Amino acid sequence: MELLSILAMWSLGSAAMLGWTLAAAIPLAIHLWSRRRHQEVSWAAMEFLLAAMKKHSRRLRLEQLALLAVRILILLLLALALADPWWLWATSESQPLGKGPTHFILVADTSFSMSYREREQTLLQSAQRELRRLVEQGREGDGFSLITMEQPVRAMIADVSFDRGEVLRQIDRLQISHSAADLSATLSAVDGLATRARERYPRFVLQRADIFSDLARNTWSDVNLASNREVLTRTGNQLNFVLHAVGNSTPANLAITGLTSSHSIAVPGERVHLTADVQAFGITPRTGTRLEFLVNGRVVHDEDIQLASDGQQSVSWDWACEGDGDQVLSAHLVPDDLPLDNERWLVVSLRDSLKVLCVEGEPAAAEFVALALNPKQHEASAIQTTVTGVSGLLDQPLEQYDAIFLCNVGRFAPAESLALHRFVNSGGALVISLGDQVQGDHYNRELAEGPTALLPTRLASLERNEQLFDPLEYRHRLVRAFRGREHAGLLNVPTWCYYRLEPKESATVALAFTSGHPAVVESSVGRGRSVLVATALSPSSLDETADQATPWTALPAWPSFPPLVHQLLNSALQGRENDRTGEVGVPFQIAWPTEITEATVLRPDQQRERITRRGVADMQRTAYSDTWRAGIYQVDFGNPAHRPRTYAANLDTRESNLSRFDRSALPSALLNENQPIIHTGNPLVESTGQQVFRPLLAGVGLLLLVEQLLAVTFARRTP
Amino acid sequence: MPVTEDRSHRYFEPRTLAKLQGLQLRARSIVEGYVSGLHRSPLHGYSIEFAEHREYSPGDDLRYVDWKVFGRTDKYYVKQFEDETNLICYLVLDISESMQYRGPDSAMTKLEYAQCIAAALAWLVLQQRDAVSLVTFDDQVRSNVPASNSPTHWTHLLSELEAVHPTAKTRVGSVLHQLAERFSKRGVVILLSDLLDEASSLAGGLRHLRHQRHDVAVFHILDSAEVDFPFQRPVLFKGLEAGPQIVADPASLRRAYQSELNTHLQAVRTSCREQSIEYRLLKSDESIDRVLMPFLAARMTRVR
Repeated sequence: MELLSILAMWSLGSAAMLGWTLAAAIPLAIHLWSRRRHQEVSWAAMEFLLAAMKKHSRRLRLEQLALLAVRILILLLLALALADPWWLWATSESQPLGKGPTHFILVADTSFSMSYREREQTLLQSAQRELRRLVEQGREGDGFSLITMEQPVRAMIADVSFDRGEVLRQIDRLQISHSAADLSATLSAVDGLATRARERYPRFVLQRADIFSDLARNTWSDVNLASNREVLTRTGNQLNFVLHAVGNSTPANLAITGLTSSHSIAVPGERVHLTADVQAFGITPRTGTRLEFLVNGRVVHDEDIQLASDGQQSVSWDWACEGDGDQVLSAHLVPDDLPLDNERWLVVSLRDSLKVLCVEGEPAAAEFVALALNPKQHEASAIQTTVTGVSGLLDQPLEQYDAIFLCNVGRFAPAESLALHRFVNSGGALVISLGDQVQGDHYNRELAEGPTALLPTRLASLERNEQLFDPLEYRHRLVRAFRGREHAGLLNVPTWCYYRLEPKESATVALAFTSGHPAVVESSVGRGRSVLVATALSPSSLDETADQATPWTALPAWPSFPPLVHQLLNSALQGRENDRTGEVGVPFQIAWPTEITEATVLRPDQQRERITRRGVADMQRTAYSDTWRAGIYQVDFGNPAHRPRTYAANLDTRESNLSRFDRSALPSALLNENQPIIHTGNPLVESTGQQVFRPLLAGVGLLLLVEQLLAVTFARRTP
Repeated sequence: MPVTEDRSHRYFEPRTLAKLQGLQLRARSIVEGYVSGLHRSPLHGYSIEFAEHREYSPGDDLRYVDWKVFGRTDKYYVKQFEDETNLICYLVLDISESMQYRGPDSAMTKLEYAQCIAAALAWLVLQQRDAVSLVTFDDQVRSNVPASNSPTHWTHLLSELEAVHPTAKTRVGSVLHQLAERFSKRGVVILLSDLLDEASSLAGGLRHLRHQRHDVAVFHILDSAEVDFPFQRPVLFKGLEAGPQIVADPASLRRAYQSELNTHLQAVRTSCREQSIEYRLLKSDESIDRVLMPFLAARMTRVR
């Protein structure tokens, strides 16, 4: 085994040159051939010849053998020198490098930050070039695996490939993904590949993982997580990590990091407020950048923006809705060296009208709300309202409505709360206003807790003191429209009776009282949203504990009531169709029409994919998970009666920050990054070795001299 | 007569001789070359006892002209000594398989080279009407042509020389012992061999011949490849005379081989010197005149 270990410390740069060792047989062949090829002579003076041979034959034979041995050794050393041998020594932490068949686990960072263009080519193209060079310099017997550092991690070559041509083809097929890199998943994948390869191919002497990445900070900041360090430490005993940093600079970048709209569902004529967030990454101030708003690919608004270094700016614009069906709204920046994050999309569904169900807990409790939503009370209105009592909740399918207003409903039967929960959970909008009929304990027990919880808050005590509204600096979109419009009367409407609310952790307070108690609280429930108003939205709710019966609030008669009701509706509707816009990699739900079982998805890369409905959920929705490319997905049900549904997937703009991770903070297992690769032709030899061909050539020269000296000496000594 | 040196040298070159078909022709070429140089055969006997005068013939050694007689008679007469008339030249030729070796750059085998020399020497002896005998051997005596000075003897000798078929090993020493006992009359024994035998055995044989009071001359004939060992690439050496086969790198063994060979040559030379035996190391690609001339010249300077 020691001998094997010693032998294993050698590597050959040009093993093919060992074929020249066959040349060492030439002197032997000549020697043997010359012995066979002789002339025949009849000889008389044989006794003298025999006497001469007897006296000197042994010495002559030894001299001939010595010369033959020297000549063979000359050719052997020459062949060995041509084979470019290397003497390799082990480091203290790893096995000897490059001493035998090596398993290369090639890791290519294909996150979208690698699409940054540097010197006429992207970082991924630079990485591909280096990957190709690594593979081409591999030796016979080396195996290759190839994975990408994207989400999810893709194994281009999951098993070990010994076909270098195939490996090169897979490298050429690497493409930029629209996802961020997942370092943890990548390291786990490397660990799994290495383990399986060790079990299946025990002949591999060395395993190494070559990671080609731009060292983006957002990705590599996870390297020091405990789980990742554990993987590096555990695998470091059997696997050498070699980190190849791609790219030479910390480039500047502009990105649209957010695009929001005030409506996810709207009616024609309604004004949708769009806000695009633009951020500059890098030290270079960005000036004169043009931002465009597009509707269905058509520029409808643009303006120049000015950003400071590492600055952020939000740009807003109001779009007057027109058209019908799903509308694709996008914001677009003039392309820079990383164009992928210069565009962002969202989908707004335009309806001919919205259908709202108003449930009144007592007669006329929903009258003012219905009137505020649809003043003209005719079907042609953008908002169609239906007023019903509590019993109406179970008389009709609630999914036909876009929103439900509960006005001063005292209590709910279990079936009714279940129906409401199903409605909200599947994306419905729910607005709950309280009043004198409300039974607080019942609400807490049935609607605030448990698996069918609807309320964003618990109801605490009933407060009876005059309060005004506090808009909380107009931070919430619900009250944002009132900013600068004090005449609308939001801030001076008195409220005399309200429930003190205890919002849940996930809830958001959109409007408060001047006492600080929440006035309007909202939260997500499933795919929908629930909005709770702490007071009544009807003048019929009276506080009869006072000397004179007093309305709970003057709000229904205030000028700010109609717009506030509309904002309550809009806020609740954020959940409705809100899943039309998501992030890359996040599945979107497809709502199937009842009779439809097959559909076609048109992807952002213009590829079409057929999908089918598997299983039947109660709302007939299925998840489409192949959303790994940014852009617009359109689901066509192939039936004119059902409009195609549009979805938008946007980039995770954490990758837009191209600043690099500090290499000094890398774990020790990765500190052998960018090991110099010595190009000696075929073999890939690490720098921890020494070429031996020069001493061998010197030996050849010395032996040539020795051969000459021996030949002359033997000739002189020949008796 | 002037010596036409170019023409005689041409006759002596092994490459030239090799082109001549037949030993007789080759021998005659050598001899004619020799004769053209007016070299009279220096082979003669030892005795200094005057036997008689005979009339001078062109080519006779002027040292033996009796000038006193010339003074008295104005005619040329040469002295003849007793043994001159009884010269027997024993040509002892190694015909073992090793003599069949011919190096990559040689025109003749060692045997062919030796045959030429033997034939030439035989002719010279016969010309002076002395007797010549021919013995061929390998590991034993294969043929023995008795001495004769008949003019037709040369033809007989040539046919005997041409008829040899080397197959066996060399055992010079033991053969020389046999010949020492067999040769009844004293004479000049000229040994033509590659002497690839143990030096001690050879020395013993030579000593035996000298003990029998023969005048011995050794012509040690080797191929230049055997001396220089010029091989570069690996060689499968197949031993002659049933020797082993070995593959060797000559370049690395050359010096060792030559050291072993020189040790043997030195031993042979020493033996000959100790026995007052004339020793000549010949390479089979050497010009024969360079072989014969010094040998014959040395013979001529022998003091009677």
